[in-house]
Amino acid sequence: MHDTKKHNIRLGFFVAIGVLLFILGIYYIGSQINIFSKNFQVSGIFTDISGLKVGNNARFSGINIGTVSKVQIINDSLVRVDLSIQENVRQFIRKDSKMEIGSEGLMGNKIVNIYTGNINIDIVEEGDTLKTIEVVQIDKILRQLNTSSVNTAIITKNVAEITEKINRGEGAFGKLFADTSFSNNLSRIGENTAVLTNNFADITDKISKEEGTIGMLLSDTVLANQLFFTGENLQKSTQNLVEITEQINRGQGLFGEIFTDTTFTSGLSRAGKNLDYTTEKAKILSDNLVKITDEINEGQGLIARLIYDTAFADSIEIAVQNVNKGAKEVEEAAKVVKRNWLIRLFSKKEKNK
Amino acid sequence: MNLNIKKIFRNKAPKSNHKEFDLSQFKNIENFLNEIGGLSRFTGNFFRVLFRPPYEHKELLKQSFNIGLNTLSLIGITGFIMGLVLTLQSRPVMAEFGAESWLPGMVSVSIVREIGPVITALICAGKIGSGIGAELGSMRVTEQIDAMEVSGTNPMKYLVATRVLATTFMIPLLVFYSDALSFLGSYIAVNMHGFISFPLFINQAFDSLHYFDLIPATIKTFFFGFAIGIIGCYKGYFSENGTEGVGKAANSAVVISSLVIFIIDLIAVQLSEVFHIFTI
Repeated sequence: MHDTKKHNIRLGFFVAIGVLLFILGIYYIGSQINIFSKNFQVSGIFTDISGLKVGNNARFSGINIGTVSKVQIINDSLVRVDLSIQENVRQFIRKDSKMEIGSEGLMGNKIVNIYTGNINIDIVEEGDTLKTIEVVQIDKILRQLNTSSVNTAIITKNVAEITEKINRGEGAFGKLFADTSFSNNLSRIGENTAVLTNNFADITDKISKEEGTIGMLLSDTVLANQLFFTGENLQKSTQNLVEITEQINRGQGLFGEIFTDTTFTSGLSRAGKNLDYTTEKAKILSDNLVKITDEINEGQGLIARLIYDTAFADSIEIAVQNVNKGAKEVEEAAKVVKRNWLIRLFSKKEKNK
Repeated sequence: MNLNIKKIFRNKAPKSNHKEFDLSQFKNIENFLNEIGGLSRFTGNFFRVLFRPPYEHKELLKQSFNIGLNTLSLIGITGFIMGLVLTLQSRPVMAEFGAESWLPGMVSVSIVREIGPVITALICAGKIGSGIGAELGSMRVTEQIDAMEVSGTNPMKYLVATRVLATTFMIPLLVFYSDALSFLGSYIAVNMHGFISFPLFINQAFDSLHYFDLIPATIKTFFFGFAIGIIGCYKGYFSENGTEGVGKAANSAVVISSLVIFIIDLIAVQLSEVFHIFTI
């Protein structure tokens, strides 16, 4: 009797635990699909629900807040999806919130994402229809991928043709690759580049050793100061130039008058005209000179005889010599007269001496 | 015009060296149909006596204790190992697809929908079905059942109804225990190669489950229990030929119970699919 009671208690415990496990399972599954919580209904209208089924989760900010409670075809192009959402989430969903059908990863179930709305808009109410965002259909993506792959095939075909042409040495690129002179040029360019880099290395080496002007520039403070002063002078010069040009613009000074004074320019114009006149006269003069020189060359006139007639020149020379001789004699006679006592007597200057 | 067909066949049919067609080849079919008929009548008798008083409460509790509690350790260990092994075996494939996080969900669906109920029922068919067959068979061959009938006790009510009811209600409970311990085994297996907290494991496991997973699986376990009980009782109740018959009764109880479990499972899958459609 005692054993039976003991057995019964143990059996009751066994049954109770078993039933409890079952109830917990029922409750846990129910809580996952919000059966035991207070819910409200909202809906959305889609053109394509991409396999969404009753029981799929609804998410708000990534949290499961409800399930799809009903899927109903309204007409030939629209499907109405009803959601059963937990009551305690209602405060976060606004009337302008939007619904979108997504999926849990690549292979996961479909879900309905609810996006938050404007905080100034009223909270959603029982039975409201939210705006929807249409699903990006995989078929469309695949279609675009197909188009892209076709284009890729065309591109690769063209590239293959181009490379074949290049291999055959056709076209500019083909010549580039096939022509040996190009490679020779390239090698020369390489050699020159090597030389250039060597030179550059030498230069930088000298600069680092403070050799040469640039080296001095980098190291010599005196030169740097001179350059600084040169710069300052240049600056002053340019400043002066600016001032000068400003003065010119204002019409000050000679150049200013040149560029601004109209009377000066008219004077210049007259001077130009006079110059024209003078040059005309000079031309006539030069013509006459040419004529005279021509006549001289031809031996006409006195000057021609002076230049070309040697006998005449000799006689003139003799005449000049005679004149010089006469002048000397006159000078000696004057000196003799000067030393004469009679003349000296009447000369006051001599007396004072 | 009356034709004597036997005479026609006897006279006109060509003689052949082959042996004549042996009608005894239909013996197996006849036995099979006989078994089905006998089992159906036995089941009918069970339901007839089930609702008629007096009710054998004490015997029912005793059988429930023997069937339920005494099998719990076996079922518990089996269920635990089942969850552990299933997870360990599934993990490499899931890891190959980068879907290790789906292990709890996959294992829970597998265990709750199919593996838990069927394995538990098969183990119970082996332990409980053979036990009932052997017990009732030995009672039959030792004429204890006859003695009960003579003494005015209805053996169908006292022996059969209590055992069938006990199996019908205890096996679903054993399945719950088995499922729970399988989850525990699965949780340990998942943590052998990584870390997942128990609440997260339970969340992921139940996230993949729905009522159309749990309810049909639970309903079919009642049928499994009923089948194990009724077949064990039937084979034991009508056992013959002494101790040899007892052994045969126990053996055939296990074989037929196991076969029927799979048949019920097949039907249950089809019906649960229909049920699933209705839930959409």
